[in-house]
Amino acid sequence: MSTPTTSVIHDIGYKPYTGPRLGRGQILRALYVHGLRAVFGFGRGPKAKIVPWFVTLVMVIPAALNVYASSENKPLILDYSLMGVRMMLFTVLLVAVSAPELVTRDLRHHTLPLYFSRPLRRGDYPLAKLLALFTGVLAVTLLPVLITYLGQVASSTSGHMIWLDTRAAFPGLFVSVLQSAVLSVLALLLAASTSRRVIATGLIAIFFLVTLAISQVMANALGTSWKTHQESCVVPALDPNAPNLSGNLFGVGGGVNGPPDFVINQYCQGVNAREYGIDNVTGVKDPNKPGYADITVTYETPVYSAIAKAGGLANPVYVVEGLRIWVFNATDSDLPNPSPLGPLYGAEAALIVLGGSAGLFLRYRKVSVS
Amino acid sequence: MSVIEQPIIEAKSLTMRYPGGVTALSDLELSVQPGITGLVGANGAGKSTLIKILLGLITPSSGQVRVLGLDAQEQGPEIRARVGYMPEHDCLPADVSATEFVTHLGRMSGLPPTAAKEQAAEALRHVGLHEERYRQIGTFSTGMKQRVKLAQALVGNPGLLLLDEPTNGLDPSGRDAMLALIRRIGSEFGIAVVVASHLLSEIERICDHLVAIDGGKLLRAASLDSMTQALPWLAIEVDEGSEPLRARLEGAGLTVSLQGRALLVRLDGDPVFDTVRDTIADLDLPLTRLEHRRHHVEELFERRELDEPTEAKL
Repeated sequence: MSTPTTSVIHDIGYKPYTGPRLGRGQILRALYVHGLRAVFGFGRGPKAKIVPWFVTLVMVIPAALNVYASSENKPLILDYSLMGVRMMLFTVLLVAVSAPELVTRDLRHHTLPLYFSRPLRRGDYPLAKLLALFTGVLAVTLLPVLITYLGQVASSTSGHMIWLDTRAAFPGLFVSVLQSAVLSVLALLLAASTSRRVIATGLIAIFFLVTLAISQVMANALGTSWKTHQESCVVPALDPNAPNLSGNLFGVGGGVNGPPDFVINQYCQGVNAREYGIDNVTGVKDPNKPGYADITVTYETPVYSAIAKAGGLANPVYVVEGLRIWVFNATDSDLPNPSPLGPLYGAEAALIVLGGSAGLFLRYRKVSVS
Repeated sequence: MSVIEQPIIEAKSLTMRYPGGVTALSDLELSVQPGITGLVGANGAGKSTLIKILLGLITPSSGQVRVLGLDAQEQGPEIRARVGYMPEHDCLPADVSATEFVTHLGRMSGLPPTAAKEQAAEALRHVGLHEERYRQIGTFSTGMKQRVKLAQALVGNPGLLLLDEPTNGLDPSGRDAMLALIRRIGSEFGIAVVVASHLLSEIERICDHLVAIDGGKLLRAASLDSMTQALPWLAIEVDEGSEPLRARLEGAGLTVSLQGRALLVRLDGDPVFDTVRDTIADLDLPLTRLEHRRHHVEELFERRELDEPTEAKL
């Protein structure tokens, strides 16, 4: 057994505190700031800083490459819209370490009674922790979007380019916000279910990896068939860069032995030459419109099974990704467009955030005080 | 030093039934005055339930409680801002320094950042952890950890401290130090203290008042001052012949009771010693022990069936 401390109580008297006392809102804010610092390992030992700052650093790498690419006027290495899904393992790593740091320690050391015997209400504790983790993850996932955007803006030559870039960055913001919300809620819910930090981290990692695997198997289920489309349209027969090359529509390259991509994109509604593989372009001079040609573009779009379309529902990150594809009608993803299951993706994302938060609050209603 | 005239805690017909059908408190009437109050009761007597109700964390099934003049059901957060609570069990993280921990909890009590730091340093100094305050709590001994728990309750100058088994797990000297500290907080700092314990012999040393609850009911509430007036007893042990001795002493008009092998004689006045001495000499009994004894309060609560003048109503 211990012997009492040898230190001496110096009697310089007791002075009651007479200063101001803050209200519940400011206490909540203090807990939030404390939690946000803990996400990045501030106020903790050096070991607690390793993972958050490693993840932050990794997130900056594609952004730095993007900035370099835009300074060289080359296409982005990693598009805004794909940052969330491509970097998801690092985001999961961050929440798998930070969520237990935020909630599991207090459960492990039974510190909660000390919080609940103070002015805070029961729900304030999970609320502050949730907001702290959300803010932390949002900051980290938004960082590459922001850096890339600033790089693009810096190398822009016109206001219109900035506007186009802002529009392109918007899906990145959308993914970042939703992904942070979904990951934070689920990670905190899992972390609050155990008082062992290692188990909490393991639970979170396993949950996301297993659901990811399931999601990927489903997304590739029953293979992908291709549907052939034909689209006819009237395009200028002249190469706009060499207007004298009259009539030689097929000599200027682009597409597949046809006019340049942007010409097809501009004149053939429904064909996105950049994103669909164009099989063939045939054409003759338009008899009624001098300088124009009637062309027929043959291209293929992938057709997915219903299982593949539902595959993204199995993993929270893919739910957000599927929602992005559906909302922005994107074709740049590895995942199929979930249409017509898009609303289901939206509903699941909302359910995770709202239901998960409710679960977290219920969890803390049950924690005993003494 | 602020003197509060109204009772610190006032409970009226307080009843708490848990959904499972367990009645933790039934019709409890309680009035706690400033000073140090011992709350005694066996495990399961309702101490923890009472503390939760006092902190406004659970709503009693019926009855009313006021803490520091505030209604526990309506003004829970206001009460919790002014009440320091030291839980019974371990509640300290290992990998934080004592200062950081107490400062953070000071913030949680509503202190502004700078004030929280100052008050944490103050609280740790008062509990005698000034030198060690930058050390990680994990490196502390049990006694030091108990002091950190006390410091976190003390931070921010509470009007009332609720201490749940503060001497748990301490060795005798650690216990003495903790009790002395509580005594100091209660008397010098002018903070009302309620010490919950199942060890009566321990808290009777520091309490001004005692409240005993059992089965959710108030068993007895008494001021220790009024008890000690009724308390001085002389314990007499003789190897043989205690029966005739008792008869003779009672014949001489003394109040005598039997406790184990000893006869307890109430010390009404000076002649008692002389009477006892003379009686023993007359009977020629082998006296083995003569002791001026104070009743343990434990006995007071247990010996209700005896019609002894050992209690005083609060």
